Amino acid sequence: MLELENVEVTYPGPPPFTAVKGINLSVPTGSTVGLVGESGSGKSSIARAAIGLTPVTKGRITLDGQDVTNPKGKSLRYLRGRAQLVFQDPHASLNPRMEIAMAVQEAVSVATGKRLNSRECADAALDLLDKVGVPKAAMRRYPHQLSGGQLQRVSIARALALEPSLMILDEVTASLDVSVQARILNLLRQLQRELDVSMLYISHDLSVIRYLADHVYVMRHGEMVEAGTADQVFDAPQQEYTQALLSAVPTLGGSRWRSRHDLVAG
Amino acid sequence: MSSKRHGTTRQMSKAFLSSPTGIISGLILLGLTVLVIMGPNGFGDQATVSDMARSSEGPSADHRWGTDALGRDIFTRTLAATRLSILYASAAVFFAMIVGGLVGGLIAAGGPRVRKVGGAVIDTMMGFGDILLAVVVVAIVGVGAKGAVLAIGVAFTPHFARFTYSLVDSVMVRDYMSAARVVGVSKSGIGRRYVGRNVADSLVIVTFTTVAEGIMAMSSLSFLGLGIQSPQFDWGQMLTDGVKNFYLNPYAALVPATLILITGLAVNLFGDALARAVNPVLWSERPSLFRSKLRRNRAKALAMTPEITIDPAMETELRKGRP
Ligand SMILES: Nc1ncnc2c1ncn2[C@@H]1O[C@H](COP(=O)(O)OP(=O)(O)O)[C@@H](O)[C@H]1O
Ligand SMILES: [Mg+2]
Repeated sequence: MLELENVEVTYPGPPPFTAVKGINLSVPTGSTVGLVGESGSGKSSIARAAIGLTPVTKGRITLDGQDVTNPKGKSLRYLRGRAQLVFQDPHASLNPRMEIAMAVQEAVSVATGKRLNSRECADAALDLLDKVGVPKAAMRRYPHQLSGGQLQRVSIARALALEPSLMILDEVTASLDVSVQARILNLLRQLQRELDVSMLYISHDLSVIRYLADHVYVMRHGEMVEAGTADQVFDAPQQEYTQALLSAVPTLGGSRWRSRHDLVAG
Repeated sequence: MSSKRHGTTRQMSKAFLSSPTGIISGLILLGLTVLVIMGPNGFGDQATVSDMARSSEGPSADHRWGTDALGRDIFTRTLAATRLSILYASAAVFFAMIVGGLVGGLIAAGGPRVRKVGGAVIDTMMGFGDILLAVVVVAIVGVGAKGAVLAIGVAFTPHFARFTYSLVDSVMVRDYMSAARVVGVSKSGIGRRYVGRNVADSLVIVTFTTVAEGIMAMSSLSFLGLGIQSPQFDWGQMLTDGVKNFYLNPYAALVPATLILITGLAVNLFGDALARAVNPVLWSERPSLFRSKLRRNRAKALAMTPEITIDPAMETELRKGRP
């Protein structure tokens, strides 16, 4: 569904800096693709380019065959109707002056256009928040009154409000502590099962990627150094860099290499 | 929706009433408001009728702070001057806030060329200095109250434009702005719910703070003889006259100066309390008798959302070049 062909992202600077150096990446429909790499390797640049927030300087991005490279007007509406991005820092990605229920309600009303009145949008928002596990008591609160884990659930609910077929999750658990992280990952697993949504899951943490992803891409200094199915990359890494990443990795909740099929609820 | 607004308003008033500075400054402003409503005519002849036989007297039984050069009671005259002093300064600042805010917001929202040209125009205007700019406006519009208000308004406008521009800029780069764009929030929604709400309280503080500076600026124009003309009078004019006769009766300058000071302090503190009240990040979780806990919450909240504090550099920028 999402295809990146030879995509380059150069920030104008000065001095100009090429953060992504002509990479190829594809997220097949219904699958979850992991993108790993150390901090500064260009992962967020790819995410932002794919969602149309950062200009692409070379190459092509398509979503279900439609060209969405540097989207404007019609292609922007097409992209935003189908793809959503959840940011890394939950405290920064919600408007501090807006109750969280309103933040989700706003997304619902964008998604439904004029079809629903505000009462119905509000109800739909509360349902969504309920579904991602935000307690009722928190719904009328402002972002600073919630924990990072709860906020990340809110951001996920807001993305779901647009019923995306692709979700890009940019280090969504990186700022959370381990037990909260595990609960968010379980929520994402549940969404994978229940919804028809493809995911591009970005992380510098390999254990998280292994837990969620079918395919894995490994990035370094703006270049793709390795790609393959999760089992290939994790069990027989070809590149020294990947091997180094693997041996340096912290573990998620105890024992080291659980596959995505045997980690029980955290 | 309506019940939600209600809750928010209640929380806001609770937050406001829980701050002692808010209550104190509110009471002072209430007192000043009464004086504004009373106006010069509310104080009878003492404020306006001259008595040359008793010119520039020191404090006495019937003139507690003495008289001015024309034998008028200093204290009464100072109270009587409250209306024009505050109204004219507020009008000028309000003008600057609206025009400067709009201009600054539009420049921030514009393309690179608009930003470049707009920024240069603002800088050039600020380069003249407030008083010179004001004098030019007076020269065009004419001497008098109307000219003075417009002059100060125009002189303060680039400061508000610059401030709003930087404020909007600092909000535009936040993650939540990108997030709003990804969700597809309309331009007007982003303007009102994202930019508007996040710049409003900083603008409120600065507007209130600037009223005090507006009073000073009006005084400066009076000092140059370009401000309010007699028989109208304001604190600035009284201060200027009082300074001339300082050795005969210092209170002729000190009393209006004190009123300027009190007003300045009150508007500053009130603006601060108001900004706290409209900012949900600063509401305490529950009404707390434990002040240390309240402070901790506030500190925590501040640490988490740095954009809600005014950048001191920005504030210095705004104050730069003021009389
Ligand atoms: N707006 C920008 N302007 C210039 N350089 C940037 C910008 N955003 C990111 N970079 C640089 O691009 C590189 C990749 O950043 P990023 O995509 O955020 O990496 P990652 O998400 O993998 O940590 C970094 O070196 C970063 O400093
Ligand atoms: Mg990143």
